[in-house]
Amino acid sequence: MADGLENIVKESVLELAPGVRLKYDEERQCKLLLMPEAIVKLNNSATEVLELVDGNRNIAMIYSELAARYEDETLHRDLAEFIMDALTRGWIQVKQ
Amino acid sequence: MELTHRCPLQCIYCSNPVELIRAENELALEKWLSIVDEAARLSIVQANLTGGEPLAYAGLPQIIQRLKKNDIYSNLITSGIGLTKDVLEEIIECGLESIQISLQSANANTSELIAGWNAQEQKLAAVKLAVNSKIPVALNVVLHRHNLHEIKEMIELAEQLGIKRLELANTQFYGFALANSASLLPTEKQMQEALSIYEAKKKELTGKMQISWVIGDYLEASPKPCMGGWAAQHIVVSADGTAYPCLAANAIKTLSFPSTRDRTLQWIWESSPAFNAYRGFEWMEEPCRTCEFKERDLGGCRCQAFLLTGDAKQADPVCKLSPHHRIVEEKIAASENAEVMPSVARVI
Repeated sequence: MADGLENIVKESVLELAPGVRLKYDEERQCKLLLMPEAIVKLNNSATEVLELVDGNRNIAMIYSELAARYEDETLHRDLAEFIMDALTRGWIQVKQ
Repeated sequence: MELTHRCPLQCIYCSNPVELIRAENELALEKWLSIVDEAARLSIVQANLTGGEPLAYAGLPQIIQRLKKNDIYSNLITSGIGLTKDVLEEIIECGLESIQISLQSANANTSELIAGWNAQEQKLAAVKLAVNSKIPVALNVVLHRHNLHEIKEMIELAEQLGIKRLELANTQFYGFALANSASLLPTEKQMQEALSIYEAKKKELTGKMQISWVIGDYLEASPKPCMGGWAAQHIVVSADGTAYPCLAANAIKTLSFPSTRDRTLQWIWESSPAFNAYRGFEWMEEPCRTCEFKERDLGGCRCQAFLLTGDAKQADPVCKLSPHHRIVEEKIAASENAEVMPSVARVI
C-alpha cells in the first residue's frame, strides 16, 4: 500500500495484512481477528466480508458475492465504509 | 508471559518491578509449556512474550513452538539485543507471528543516556533483519522528557526502516519509571508540541504506517480504563510463576497474588481473591461509586491508586475528581525543576 489510500479502486485485490488472521473461537462462538497485540471480536457481517478478503478477490467480486446473498440497499455504502476502515486500521491491505 | 527479568539494557523507565526476579527463581521450561497447554484449554488466543529481554530465556523457541501447536497467536516483545539472523530464523520457524522491537531514541547518544549503554547500532541491525524477514514488525518508543522533542525524527526513521506499525507510548509511571518520575515527566508544552507533530504525521502516513499514541496519563484530565478493567481480559505470568492481572500489579502490596507453581490458571482466573478483588463496580469507594463516568474509566488504574495513595480502592489520583489529585499535581510541579538524570538504575 505504498500509495496510501487514494488509489483504491474496485479492481483492487484485498488480502489480510501480514500478521493478521481469522480464528474461530468455540468458547465465544464467533470469529476473532488476531493481530499483533490486539484481538477483535467480529460480528457476523464483518466476518462475512473478511472471509472474502483472501488475496484473490477484488473489491467488485467481494461486493457481488455479498449482493447475491443479501438484498440490501445500503450494502454498497456499508461495504465501502467497512473496507476503508479496515484498511485504515491495518487489518487488510491491497495486494501488490 | 514475562519470561525473565534479565535484560542487557537498564532503561530508566522500565516497567518491571523494582525488586527484579533473579535467574535462579525463574520458571523452568517444562512449567511454561504446561502453562501454554492450560491457557489453550481456557480459550486464551494470544500471548505476548516479554521480559526483561525474552531472548535471554533459553527455552523461548520451545515456548513459541508450543504456542503454535495450540494455535495461540504469539508476539515477541524484545529490545532487539540478541536478535541475530540465526535466532530470528529459528523463532520464525518455530511459529512466531509478530515481533515488537523497542528503540529508546532516534539517535545513539540519547539512546545511551536512557538505556545505560549504546545499543542503537545493534537495535537498528535487528530491526532491519526483522523487516527483511517478512514477519510483521512493530517499533515501540517509550516517550518522556528526554526524547519527546525527537518525535519527528523517530517517525521518519521508522519510515526509512520500512516499519508498518509504530507505537509511541508515553511513559506510564510504575516500577522504575515511578522512582524516576521527576526526571521523566515531560512539560505540558513539550507534550502538546509532540502531539501535534504526531497528528500531522499520522494523517500524512494513513495507509502507509499505523502510528499509535499511548497517552501519558499524569497530564490527562481523566484516568485511563486500565487494562479494560481489573482481571477482565489479561493474565500475566511473571518470571517466577506469580500470576497478575497486569504487568504492574506486583506493586499492590495489600493483595497476595497466586502462583502458577501451586495453582491452575483456571483457579487463578476464576477463584483467586486477588483476581476478584476489583472486578465489576462493587469494590469502588467515593467519588467513583456514584460517579457518572465510572463505566467509562472504571475508576482508572488500581496499581496507580495504590502506589500514590496506599489504597488500591481509591480513585486513580490522575482523576481531577480524586481527593488525592494533588499528589499528581505535586509530581508534575516537582518535575518542572528537575534537571538531574534518574537516580534509580535498573541493574540485574
